[in-house]
Amino acid sequence: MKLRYRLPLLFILMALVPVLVVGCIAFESARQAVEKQVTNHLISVNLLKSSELKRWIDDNMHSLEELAQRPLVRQYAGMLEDCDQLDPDFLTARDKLVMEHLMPGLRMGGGFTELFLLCPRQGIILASTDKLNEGKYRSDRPYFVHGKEGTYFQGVYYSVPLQSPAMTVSTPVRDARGNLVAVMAGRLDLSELSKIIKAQSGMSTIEDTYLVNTAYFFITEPRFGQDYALKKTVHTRGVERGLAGEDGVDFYSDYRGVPVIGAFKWLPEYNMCMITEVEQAEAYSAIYRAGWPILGTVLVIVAAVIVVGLLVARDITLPLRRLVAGTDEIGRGNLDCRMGIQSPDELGELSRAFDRMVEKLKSTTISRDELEVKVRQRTERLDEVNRELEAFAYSVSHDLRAPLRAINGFISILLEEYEQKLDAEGRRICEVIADSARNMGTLIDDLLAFSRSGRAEINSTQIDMEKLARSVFDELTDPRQRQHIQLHVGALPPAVADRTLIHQVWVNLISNAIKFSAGKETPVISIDGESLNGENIYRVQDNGVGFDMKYADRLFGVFQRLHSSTQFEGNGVGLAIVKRVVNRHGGRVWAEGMVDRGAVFYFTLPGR
Amino acid sequence: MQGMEIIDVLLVEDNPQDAELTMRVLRKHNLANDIFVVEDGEQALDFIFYRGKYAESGVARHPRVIFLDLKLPKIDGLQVLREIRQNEGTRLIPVVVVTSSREDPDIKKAYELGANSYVVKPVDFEAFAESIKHLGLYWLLVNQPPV
Repeated sequence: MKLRYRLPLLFILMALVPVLVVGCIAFESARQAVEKQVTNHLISVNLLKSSELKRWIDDNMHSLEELAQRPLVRQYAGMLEDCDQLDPDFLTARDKLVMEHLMPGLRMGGGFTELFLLCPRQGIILASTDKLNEGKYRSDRPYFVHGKEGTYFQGVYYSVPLQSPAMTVSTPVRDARGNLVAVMAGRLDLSELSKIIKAQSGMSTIEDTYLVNTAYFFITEPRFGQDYALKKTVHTRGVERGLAGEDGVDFYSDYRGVPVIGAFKWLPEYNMCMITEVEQAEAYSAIYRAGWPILGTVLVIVAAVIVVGLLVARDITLPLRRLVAGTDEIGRGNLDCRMGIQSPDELGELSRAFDRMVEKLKSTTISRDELEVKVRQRTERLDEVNRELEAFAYSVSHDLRAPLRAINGFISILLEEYEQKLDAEGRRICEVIADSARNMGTLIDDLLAFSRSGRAEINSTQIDMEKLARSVFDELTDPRQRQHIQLHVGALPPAVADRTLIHQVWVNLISNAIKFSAGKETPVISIDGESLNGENIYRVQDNGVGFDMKYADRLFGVFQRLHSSTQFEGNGVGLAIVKRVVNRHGGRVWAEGMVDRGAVFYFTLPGR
Repeated sequence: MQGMEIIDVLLVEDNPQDAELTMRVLRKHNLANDIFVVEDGEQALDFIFYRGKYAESGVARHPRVIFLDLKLPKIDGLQVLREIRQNEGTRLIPVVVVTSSREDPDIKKAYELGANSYVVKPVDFEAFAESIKHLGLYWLLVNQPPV
């Protein structure tokens, strides 16, 4: 991936990861804070409402007690208890009681919908604000049974006569002597209760508070239900735990199946539990609302980082791309190309170092080019000299021979046709002249051969050295010599070399061996070779006159001779030719010898 | 052309000593009596094509064999050979190239132009005399000329 994309990406990653982490942490802590807040709120709502409920019930109980303790009420009640229901006094007392005490009691601002007095013995309703109920028996009702002993509250229950849920408080009515004369009961207004329970706390969230009795029935209407009270049961986790006597908060689905946070509180005095719930979606909406600005901030940061990253990447990659382009330019041979990036940073340093390098390269290239020109000029000059040399060699061979031949020829004619006119000394002198001319002829031939060995082009082919050495030996000897000389030829490694030149090498070495061992009773010539460390070594050994090792370095020089020409023919060019040919093939030559013990000549050629 | 006279050898040789030695050898062995010597390429062509100073004689002398040196003044031996071979009347005359050196780069060229033989003059006089004797024997006695 290219740097100019990698850098912005890196920037984004570097920015995004912390932002996301911080965002998550912030969100989580906000959620927890909201949760805590909601939880506390729900618990406090429960506390508040349960205490309001208690106060409301207590207030109504006190109102009832206050009503029951009025002297006139106690008096009327005593009269009702004593008299027959058809007695006029009874009726008067009842009317007075209802009109003067019970009816006003309803209007006291309490929550009573009906107030009535019960006969402590039969449980019959003696007087009531609801005339229709007078004379009815209520002896089995808990409020009657318990109301005889003291003020009693009977929680919400389904009242069969009323065909609706009811709540009733009751209290004993005693006469001046303390005898129980009646039980006063008041039915509480359930709508008033619902009003208390449903009253909102005024928080931003709308909570749903309701009461549930031990039979899992709704007692008050929940927020999202109509006519649920004592008709519908509810089995949510909050209700279960509340009815199990716990106070707390939980997360669960409410009676509609909607996820809520619910606080539950067991009210032991009334055998029911209070549930206050808030929909989770609503509770958390604040956080989600707060999330949008955070997300927006993150996006803004990311955008800013991308822009900065692109700018930085451009800042870095632009000089780099210029360097790359410059390198290509220089690679194409334009050494005048310069980066010229002046920034003080590392890229600037790199660019300046690059420019210096190109400067140096340019100067070395210039000197190299000059050198090439010089080499070319020298080569041309050398070729010219070589051509001149060739022409010279040609002239030498052509023009020096003719006068020699003339000397020779005319001496012969002299000796042949004028022999009688010459004395012995004259004839000897003629012979010397003829010999010298002949010698000069051979010298010229050898010189030419030597010059040719250095100039001839090398055309390498595969050579069977063993076969070549044998055939050279046969060329150089006649059958009589071959009978006389003991020849040993070993297995010679084949060579890749110029056949003509190597042929000359063998000729010179073998002819030397034959020549220098000719004086021996049994001349022995051994030719062998081997492959060693990537080069082929060849060896020609004879048992002839040998040489003194202290002259070994002079053996291969031109016109260097270790023996006088009267002893052995030759003019010292043969080994010089051997050395030159072998050297031109990349090989080496050397020799070992001892006076009268023979000599060994070695040459090497590069192996495969 | 008023008449045709057949001679034995035309020797084209710029070196007078070589020429003399050659003639001596040929005469000594009675191989050729009728030898004509020219010293350069121009003379050789004039002689062969019957022009220049040779036109005056009024007789075209036709050699049985030409001994031709390559290195000649004025016109060199190869050019002489080329012109002999290009002319209908002379193209069948045997030409033996006799030169001083085996270094000569023109051996191959000489054969390409139609030389019948190429001989290197040995430095040694005995050898030289021997080869000239052989040449004379072969080309004047053994070889059957085209005409």
